[in-house]
Amino acid sequence: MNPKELVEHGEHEQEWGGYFVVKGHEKIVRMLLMTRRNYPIAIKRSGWKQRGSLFSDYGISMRCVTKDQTATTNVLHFVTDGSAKLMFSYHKVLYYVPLCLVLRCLCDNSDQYTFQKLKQGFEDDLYYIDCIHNMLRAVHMENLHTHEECKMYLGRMFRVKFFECPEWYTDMQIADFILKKCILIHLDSNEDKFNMLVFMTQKLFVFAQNKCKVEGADAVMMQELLLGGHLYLQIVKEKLQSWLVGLKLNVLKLAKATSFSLGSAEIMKAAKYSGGIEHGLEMFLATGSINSVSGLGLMQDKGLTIVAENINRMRYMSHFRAVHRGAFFQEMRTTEARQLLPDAWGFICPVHTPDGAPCGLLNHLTTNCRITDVPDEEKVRNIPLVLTDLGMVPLKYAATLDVKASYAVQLDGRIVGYVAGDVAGRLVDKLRLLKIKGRSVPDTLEIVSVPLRKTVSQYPGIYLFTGPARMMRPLLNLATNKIELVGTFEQVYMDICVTPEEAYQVKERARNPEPPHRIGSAGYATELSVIA
Amino acid sequence: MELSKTSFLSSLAQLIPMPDCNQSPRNMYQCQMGKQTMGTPCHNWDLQSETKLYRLQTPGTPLFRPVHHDNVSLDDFAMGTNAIVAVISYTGYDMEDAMIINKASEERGMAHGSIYKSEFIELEHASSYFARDPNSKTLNKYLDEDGLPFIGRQMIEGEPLYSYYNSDKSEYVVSKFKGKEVCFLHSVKLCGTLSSKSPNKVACITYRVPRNPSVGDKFASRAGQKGICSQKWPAEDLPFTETGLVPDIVFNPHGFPSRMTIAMMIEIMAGKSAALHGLVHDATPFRFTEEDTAIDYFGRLLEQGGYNYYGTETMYSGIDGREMTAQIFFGIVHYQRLRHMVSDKWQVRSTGPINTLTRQPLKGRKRGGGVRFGEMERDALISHGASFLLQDRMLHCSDETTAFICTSCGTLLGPVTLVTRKADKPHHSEVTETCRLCGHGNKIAEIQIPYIFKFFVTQLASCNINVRIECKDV
Repeated sequence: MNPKELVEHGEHEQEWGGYFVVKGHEKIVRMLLMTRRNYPIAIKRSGWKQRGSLFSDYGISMRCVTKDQTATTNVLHFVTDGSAKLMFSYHKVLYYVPLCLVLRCLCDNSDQYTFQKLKQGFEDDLYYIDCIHNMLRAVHMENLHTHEECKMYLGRMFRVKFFECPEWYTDMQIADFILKKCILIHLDSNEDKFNMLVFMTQKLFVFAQNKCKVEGADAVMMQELLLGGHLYLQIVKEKLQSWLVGLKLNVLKLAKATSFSLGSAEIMKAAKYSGGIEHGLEMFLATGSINSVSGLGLMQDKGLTIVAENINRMRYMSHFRAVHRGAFFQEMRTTEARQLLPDAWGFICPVHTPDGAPCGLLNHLTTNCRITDVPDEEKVRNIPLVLTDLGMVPLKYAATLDVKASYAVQLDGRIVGYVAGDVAGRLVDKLRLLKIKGRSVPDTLEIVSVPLRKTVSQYPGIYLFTGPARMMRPLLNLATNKIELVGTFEQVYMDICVTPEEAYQVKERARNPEPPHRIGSAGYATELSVIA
Repeated sequence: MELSKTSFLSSLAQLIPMPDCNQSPRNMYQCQMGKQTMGTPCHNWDLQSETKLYRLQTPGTPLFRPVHHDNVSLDDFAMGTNAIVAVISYTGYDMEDAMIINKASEERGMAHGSIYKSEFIELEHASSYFARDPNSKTLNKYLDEDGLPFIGRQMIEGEPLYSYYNSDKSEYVVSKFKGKEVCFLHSVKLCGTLSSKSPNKVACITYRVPRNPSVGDKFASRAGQKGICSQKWPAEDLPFTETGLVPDIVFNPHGFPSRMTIAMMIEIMAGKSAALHGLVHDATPFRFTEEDTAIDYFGRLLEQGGYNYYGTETMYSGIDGREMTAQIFFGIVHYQRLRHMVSDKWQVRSTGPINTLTRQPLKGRKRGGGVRFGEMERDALISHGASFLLQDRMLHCSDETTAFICTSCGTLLGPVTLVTRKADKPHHSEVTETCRLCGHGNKIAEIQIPYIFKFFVTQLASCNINVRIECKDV
């Protein structure tokens, strides 16, 4: 409706919607800060030591989100005997599987191939190579020599826990089910999963040897938002699933009758007893709590919706821009989650956070910050081709490249190829130009190029993100004089000036390979008198 | 490059005038207080049925405001009023963040506000309906034919609020208005429902509670400077300037040094010059620099208007008319009225409702309870040696009770009352107290103790612990 029609219907001219009306209250599904999807994060968490004997506090955590916004977390743990275990969860219960067992289950590759893959780029790290040897041997020690044997073993071990699978499933099928539903679920093909796990292993061992910095889930660059719509979708999905299970039970009950033939009438009859899903959704919106078997990858199950109080315009406005870190952190004694880190610049307001219990946990987005939408599929599909055009070597031909001196290119948590170190800069610049144009690649593409440095720093690579729910903000690209959307992770490795005088000249930049990015430099000290 | 210097701020932070001139926590305070301001939440007042809505009757647009104010068209939902502020310590009623409001300006309508409260009434039977008893002669003063009250009526506690025909009992029922405050009936709506399950008649009644500023109400400028109104001072007793201007609000200058809210000082100058020249000044941060200061800019504007460069003025005492030796900083500030008001908070009790189990006073304003006199308060009185006051608080005004005690065995639980001769009237009966434990009633005395002590002794007895109290004659 246009403003005039709105007023005619007794609404406000400026009505922007975005809430549910439940019994006369305007209910908003709260935006929560979540870990960035489909990116392996190096995390050190003391609680991980308690996860099993010999477990260390090092791990690579990855929140995998599929296209339908289903999310699970996988963690690759470093075990102090020099091996690695992969954590996956099913129905809120955590399970740990030796890395090499999963690798063997995923693809029918020879040990030699797996070893070569894992070793690639780290030929001179003797400790790491030793570890791989041991891990590969450990699988054989269990008398599991082939791909099939591994899968049978996995299926056999987990059969009891996956009672949803029908009894006539073979062990192999159960193993397939686990691999599909629990491990790196954002990737469809097992080969992609294999490659991603290889990358995670390499990162884990570099990280465990303190050769790269811890990333931590508290920094805004490692975060994205949980949007109301996405959560709603999850709940609908789960409710439908449980409805289907109920329907199945009802059909089976009916089938016990002597003369039974399954037809549409029988299905209708069964459906009549299965109830609906409306009530559950209404309850969610009214109370803000969910009761779900899978937990939906959330840390909390209460307080997900709030009432948009309309005390005045300011109060009302800010409800729609508020992001919460999660109720889980509210009870935590430490202040880590509450800190305002420099990478939040431009995305999260340093001024607008309440005093008291939710201080630093309940934040507000800046005026310019926007949240990405689902990108155009075609443009996303285009990206690997564009990258190849710009000089990336696809994974297939990676053997032709000196992997050690090149960067792995990841697109939404999938390794697409490698790019030689000396080409990388040019590739990123050109890709950025294409992104600003937004014709062949989405303009919400986040291009993060983490350079390889002599000092211990973030694990290098080129990471591309196209997914929804990321925070992005418009900036003026000085080279093209056009608006460019910049993401939270991307911003950290860019040079952004506040005034034109601060800008580096292009020549100067070429000379200076590592210009101090503006966060933590002059801009912060002078401009930000507001952040004391 | 950044699109603007302020793009790192949220939209609320962008509404603060010149946040770059404030100490950082003050900006955070303003972000919170801005959200508690009375303003204009909506325009469709007659259609609203929110349980509580605050409305400022006489809002004004700030004279000194950031660009963002216009970008979000906040003038459509105005909040706050422009007040003439004198920064002066006057009368002594402005200590510790208190502020004095000019009685005359309050009477003229400054910061007048009201609360809209809505109440839903649902009839319990589907066939019941709202109606006035046609045979009743007295009801038509209060209720219309449809059994609902007249719009615009001033509501007083105990008056009929609505009447309905109860089809279950086949009679007319009248409900009374329950509300302690004076309020007016704003609207009455009969509500329909979408579901077919409960076709019970529902009425929504909205009241308007006038809430004009009173002593104890909270106000704040847009620089995190909040204050409580301590007095409504007569205009004739307030200081006045050479032009005869009397301030609306007297702000204590001691509020400035520790808070360092320079933006409010700039606002005083900017607001004054804006009013003088008929302008609205831009308060977007990072527009002025060290070389080209805001103070200089507005100072020169003031000078051109014939005022002092620094925004100060000579003032005369309102009490004796003598000129004050100090020059007084004087200008216009946009003040917000916050929703915390004394009328919602006052609480008083001498004796009143008690908890049935412990016989101690209840807590909570709604139930007529008291404010807890806790351990720390008790310690304070002990340290002062104010024992009678302490006894008054903890015993007399709380759960004082008389109990029998057997002084020979020292137990509170022993004494039992036996009726020896029963008469028709209870006070003619003869009763004797005996101790269950000693078997005789020779040494039973009556003492005053807190009831909770007796309760405690009983509870201990249930755990097989006996409490023995040593008694002495005084």
